[in-house]
Amino acid sequence: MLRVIDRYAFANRLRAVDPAQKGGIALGVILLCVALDRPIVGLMALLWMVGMTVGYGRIPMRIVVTVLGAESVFLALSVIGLVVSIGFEYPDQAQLALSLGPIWVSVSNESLQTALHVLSRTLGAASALNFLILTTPLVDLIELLRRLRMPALVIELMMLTYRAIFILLETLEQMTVAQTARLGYASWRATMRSSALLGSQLFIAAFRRSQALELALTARGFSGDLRVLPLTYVADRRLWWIAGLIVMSLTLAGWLV
Amino acid sequence: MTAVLTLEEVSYRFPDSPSPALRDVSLHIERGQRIVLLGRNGAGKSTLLLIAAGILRPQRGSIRLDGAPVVYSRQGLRRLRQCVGLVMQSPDDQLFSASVRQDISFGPLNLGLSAEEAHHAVIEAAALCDVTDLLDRPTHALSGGQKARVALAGVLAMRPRCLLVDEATSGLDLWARHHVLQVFNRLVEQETTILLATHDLALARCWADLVVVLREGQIAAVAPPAQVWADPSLRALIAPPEIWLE
Repeated sequence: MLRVIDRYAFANRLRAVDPAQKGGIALGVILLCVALDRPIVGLMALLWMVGMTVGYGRIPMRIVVTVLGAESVFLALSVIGLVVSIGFEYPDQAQLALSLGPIWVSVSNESLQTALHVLSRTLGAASALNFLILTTPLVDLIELLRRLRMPALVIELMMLTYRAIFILLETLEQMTVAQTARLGYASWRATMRSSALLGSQLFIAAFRRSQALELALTARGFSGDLRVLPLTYVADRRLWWIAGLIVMSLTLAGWLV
Repeated sequence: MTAVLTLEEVSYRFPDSPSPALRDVSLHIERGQRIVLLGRNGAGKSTLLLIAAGILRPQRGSIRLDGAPVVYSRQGLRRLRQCVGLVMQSPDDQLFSASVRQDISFGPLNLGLSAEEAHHAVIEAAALCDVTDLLDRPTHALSGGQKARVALAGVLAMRPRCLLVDEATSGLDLWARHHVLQVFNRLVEQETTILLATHDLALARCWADLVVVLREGQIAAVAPPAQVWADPSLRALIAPPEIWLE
C-alpha cells in the first residue's frame, strides 16, 4: 500500500502544485468536518474530496477506494464499539436486543446516530487527507514542513527515515525470498524461527547501511547539516476556485441542513 | 604530468584486525589518468580509496594533494573532498535524499556554493551523467543503472579533479555499465583522474592506462594493462588460471 500511494503521489496531475495549497485545502476540509458536526457535511466532504482526487488529480478510482477501504476497516471497528452495547440487564431503549445467555447485546437509536455522526465526519476528514497523500509525495510534505520552520533535525530525520523505509523494504523482500527458497516458511515452527532471524538480520542490515551512508555523506563534505536545494512548485488558480466552492458548500450544508 | 594525489608509504590497520589492511603503499596519481585497482577481496582496494578520500586517516605515511600534505582539519578535509570525489560500491549507500535533484545538490551546498551556483552544478552534473530527466524523480523509484548514474552525478556536482570509484560498475547490466563508462571517458577528456577499483578484467584491459595490483595490503605492481597481462605471477594475484584461459 505504501508503495502504491507513493507511486501515485509522484505521478498525478497535481504533482507540481504547491504542497501548501494542497495542504491548506485538506486542512480546511478537515476543520470544517470537525467544526460543523452534521453527517451531511462529512458525506459532502467525502464526495468532494474523492471527486477532486479522481477527477482533478487523475488518481484511479480503484486506488482511492482501496486506500479509503483500508482506513474504513479501522473505522468500522471503532464504530461497532459505538453502536453495540453489551450489558447484563435488558436495555429499555434498545432498537434491537439480543440475549446471549445472561448477556444482552443491543443497538439503540442514540448509538446509531452517534455512530453515523462519527462515521461521516471521519470519512470526510479521511478523504481530505487521502487527497493530500495521494497527490503530494512525502518529499513535498517535508519541504512544506521546512517552509513552516520545522526544526532542521526533525526534517533531516524524516528525510532519512523516508529513504530508509524503501531500502529496508527491499532488504526485507530479498531476505524473505532467500529464506523461502531454503524452506524457511515451510512449517509453523520454521516460520517463527525465520521471522525472528529476519528481524535481527534486518536490524544488522539497517545498522550496516547507516554506517555506509555516513561514509558516503562524509565523502561529500557532510558537516552536520543535510543541506539540499529547496524544491519549486506552481500555484493552481483553478484549484483555489474549487477549494472556495467546497468550503462554501460545506458551510452552507452545515448551517442549512 | 602533474601528480594530483600522492600516497607515501601509507599503512592502515582496522581496529580488531590481526593484519594491516594497507602496508607501506606508495602511489602517484597523475592528472587525466585512468587507473584500475585490481586484487582479491580483502586486498585493500576499498581501504586505499577511503584513505585517498580522507575518510580514513593513515596510521603511518602521508597523503599529498597537489604536492602539499593533506591536513586533517575541517578546512583541509574540505579542500581534499572538493578535489577528490568518492563513489561508493552500492548507490543505495550514497543516495539519502527523497528526490534526485536534492540528493545531487547536497555536495555543492556543503562546499559553500550559493543556491543558484548549486543549482547550476546540479544541472551540469545531471547532464554529464545523463540523468536530467530523472531530477524530479524519487531516488527509491530508480533502476540500478539509474541509481548508479545519480550517485555518480552527486559526486561530480562537486567538480572533483580526481574521482575514486569503488566497484561502481559491478551489478550493472551492459547498457548501464556502458553509460557509466561513457561518463568516465568524458571526465578523462576534461583531465579528471579516475581511480577505479574493480574485478572486471575486460574493463581493466581495454579501459585503463595503468593497473595497480594489490596483494594483502601491498602494491604488487603498477604497470600498463598489457604488461600485467603478460606477467603470469601478476595474473595469479588477480584471478585463477581458468579465468585467463577464457
